[in-house]
Amino acid sequence: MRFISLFLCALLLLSGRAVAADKVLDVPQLGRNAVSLTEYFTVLEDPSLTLTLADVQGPEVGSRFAGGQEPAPALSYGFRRSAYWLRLTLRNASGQPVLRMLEVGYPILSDIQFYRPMVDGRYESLATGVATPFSTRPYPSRSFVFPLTLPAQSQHVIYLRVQSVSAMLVPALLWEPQAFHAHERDDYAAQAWYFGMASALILFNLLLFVAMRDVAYLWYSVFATCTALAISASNGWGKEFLWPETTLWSNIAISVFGSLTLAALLLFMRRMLNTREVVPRADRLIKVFVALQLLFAAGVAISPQSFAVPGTVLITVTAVLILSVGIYCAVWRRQRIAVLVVAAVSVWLLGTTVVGLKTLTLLPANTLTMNGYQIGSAMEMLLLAFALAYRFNMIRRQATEDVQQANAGLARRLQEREAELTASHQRLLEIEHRQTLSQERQRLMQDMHDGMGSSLNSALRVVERGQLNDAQVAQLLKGCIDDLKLAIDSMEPVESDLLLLLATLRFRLEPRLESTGIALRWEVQDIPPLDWLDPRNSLHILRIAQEAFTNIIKYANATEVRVATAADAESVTVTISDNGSGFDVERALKSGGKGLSNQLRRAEAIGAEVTWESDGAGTRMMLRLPLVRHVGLPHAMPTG
Amino acid sequence: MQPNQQNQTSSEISPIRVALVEDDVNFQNALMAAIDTAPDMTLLVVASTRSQGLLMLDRAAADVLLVDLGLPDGSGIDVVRAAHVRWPACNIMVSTAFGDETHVMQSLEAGASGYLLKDSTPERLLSEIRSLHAGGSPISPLIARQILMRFRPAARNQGAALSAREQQVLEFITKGFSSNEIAALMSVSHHTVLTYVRRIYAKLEVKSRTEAIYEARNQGLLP
Repeated sequence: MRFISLFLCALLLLSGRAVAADKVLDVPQLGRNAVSLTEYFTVLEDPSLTLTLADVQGPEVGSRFAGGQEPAPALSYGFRRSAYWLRLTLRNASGQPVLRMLEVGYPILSDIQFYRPMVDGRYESLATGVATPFSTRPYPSRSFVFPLTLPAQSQHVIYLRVQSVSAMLVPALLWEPQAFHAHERDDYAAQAWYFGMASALILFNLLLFVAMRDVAYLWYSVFATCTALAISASNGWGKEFLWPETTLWSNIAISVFGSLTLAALLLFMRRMLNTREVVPRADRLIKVFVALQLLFAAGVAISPQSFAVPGTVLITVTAVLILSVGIYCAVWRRQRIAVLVVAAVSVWLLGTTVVGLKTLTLLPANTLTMNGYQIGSAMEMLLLAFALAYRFNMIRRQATEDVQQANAGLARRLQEREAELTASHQRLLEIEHRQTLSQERQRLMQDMHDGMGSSLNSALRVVERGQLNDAQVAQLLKGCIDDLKLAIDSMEPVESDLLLLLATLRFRLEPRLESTGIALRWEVQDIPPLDWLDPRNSLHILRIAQEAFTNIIKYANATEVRVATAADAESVTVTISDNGSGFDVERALKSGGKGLSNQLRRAEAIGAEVTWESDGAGTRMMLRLPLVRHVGLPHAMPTG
Repeated sequence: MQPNQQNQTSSEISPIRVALVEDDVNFQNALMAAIDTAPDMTLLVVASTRSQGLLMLDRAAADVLLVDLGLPDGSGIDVVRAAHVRWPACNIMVSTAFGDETHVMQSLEAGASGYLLKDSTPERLLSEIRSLHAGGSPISPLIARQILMRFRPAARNQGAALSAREQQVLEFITKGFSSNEIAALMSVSHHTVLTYVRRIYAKLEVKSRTEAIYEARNQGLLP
């Protein structure tokens, strides 16, 4: 489009219609395409800001206007405090009135005054600009648009006075109304597309922040919001829709939002690349720059003019910092997410550069280049959102690994604990086993000492005296073997069954009784179990009963022995009675007859009670065993 | 009473042939002396080691085999087990010093039908051999209790089970009643009580064998 307009301009030049002082633009000759007015302007700089329309119309000041600009999309003077007067001569050589739109497409110019001649030759003044309310605009648009009517066969001189805190950039175009409206529609569609996308990303990430409480999403949302607002401030969209009636604010909005955007981007990057741990020194620098950006935003609000140039420097340095940190993390720290951050910032810079190059006419003006900011910003937002998604995935994978590791750790600890428990249980068992063995050994030692040992000793003494015949020696030895058998039987578990214990005793002693011709009457009744009947206690009972049988065989001169059991609520009684000659119980106890005293001591040791009744018709020994043994009873074995 | 009568009549025709596996010369002598006094018994063969005992089984079977468990070259249980197979009609009894539960139960499971206490009088030795030959078996209260526990319904029941009468006999024994008293209590003959015990021992042997097979299957040692 631009090339065509330039070509047309060149044609105009060649056709020789140009005027020596001011290039005159023959409006109806132009087609539907917009024409850049740069080369048609003559320009006067007014550093004092005092000149009026009357002054510049006067011959003295009027002659200072300078023309001869190269064809370009815009007049550009950088940051200047001066006001600039632009003079333009338009001609309508046709027989029809012509309607045209003059657009100044740099929406952040602070003040623009437009002077157009009326029918009576006087000039009408229209004062607008970003620093005045939107309602002052003669045509509602994000850029400055001034409708012009050129009567048939006429030539007009119009003036523009421009003054701005932003760069002095005047991209002026002359539009045919139909073409302008078509351009306007396309332009608004593109803006709506951009802001729609930005709003969706902002809302989505805000929701993510609320849901996940990860501040990275918040910084992203702040960053995207500030970017969108900065762009809306730069392209006049904010002025048109968001803050139309503000004056000072709309003048500085772009700087404030630009600073906030960079501050948010720095904070976002800190979080994303975990710079506090990965690059601590750069992290401190990042914090300093966040502070600088915030200070700058405050400074611009106080004095927009003095902060314009430092602001540009600060933006550049911040961009370099972001790229440097990103590249360092990507290349040296192998952070893949940093690649995405660098790519995002690069795309944004590319968009900015494309716009710059377009402004310098090094690139053609087309949909891509004209919307460079928006496209760069949109790509940046998308890439950063993608970086967020990547990070989320990374965190989740890390979390899964952590959980797996934690599970493995738990399983391992559980295993170790189990092993420890098994080992300690094993140790306890061993200790218990050793204790049992030790107790059993003591018991056996005691029994060998008291039973077998003493029997064998007395047998030895008797045999040594040589007063025994073989049969008597055999009898002695049989007694020893019987002792041994009882000791062995006491080792067998009888499981609380006193009858079984007595049965065993009978089984052992019956052959000896038979050989003496004494009849045995077994008159036992079922009795309740005795829980305390362990091997030690069993042996005591066996020994007491054995002693009773021995006494009957040796001394009682009986023909019949009766064994009976009975039970009451508290105890079990074993009665061993004979029909022999009997004995004086009192005297036997006093004289300490060895058999009786042993029985007494054994009974005492197991918490039982033994009594005797004897008369001429026989003797009755009663062993009373408690059903429940009281704890704390002495466990000492009878000795000797 | 029936088997006893048969025994008495048959002993007149042919004496009880006794075989002995025993390393203690004194016990050998004591048994020989005792059998010499018994017109109804002859000592067929004497072996004094495990290997001699096993070789002995190649020869003609005895009626009663007496085996000592503690032999110089191994356990008499092996001889009991082999004899139970090779001499199926022979009554096997082990000789033991104390008749303790562990040794007796092992022997019964290997196929013995009785046991003999080594300190028994000669008369008792002979009467035990006669009783065994006549189909009776001795039992102690502790052994009876052990067998009852083996056949407890709650226990894993493999193979044979005890009849109610057999169960009753064992219970009486654990309470100390003699075989005569039990016969009176159950209104059967003394000898019948002893044959109950023999049957119980046979079931115990079968049970332990099937349990061994079951266990081997469980552990995958047998198909």
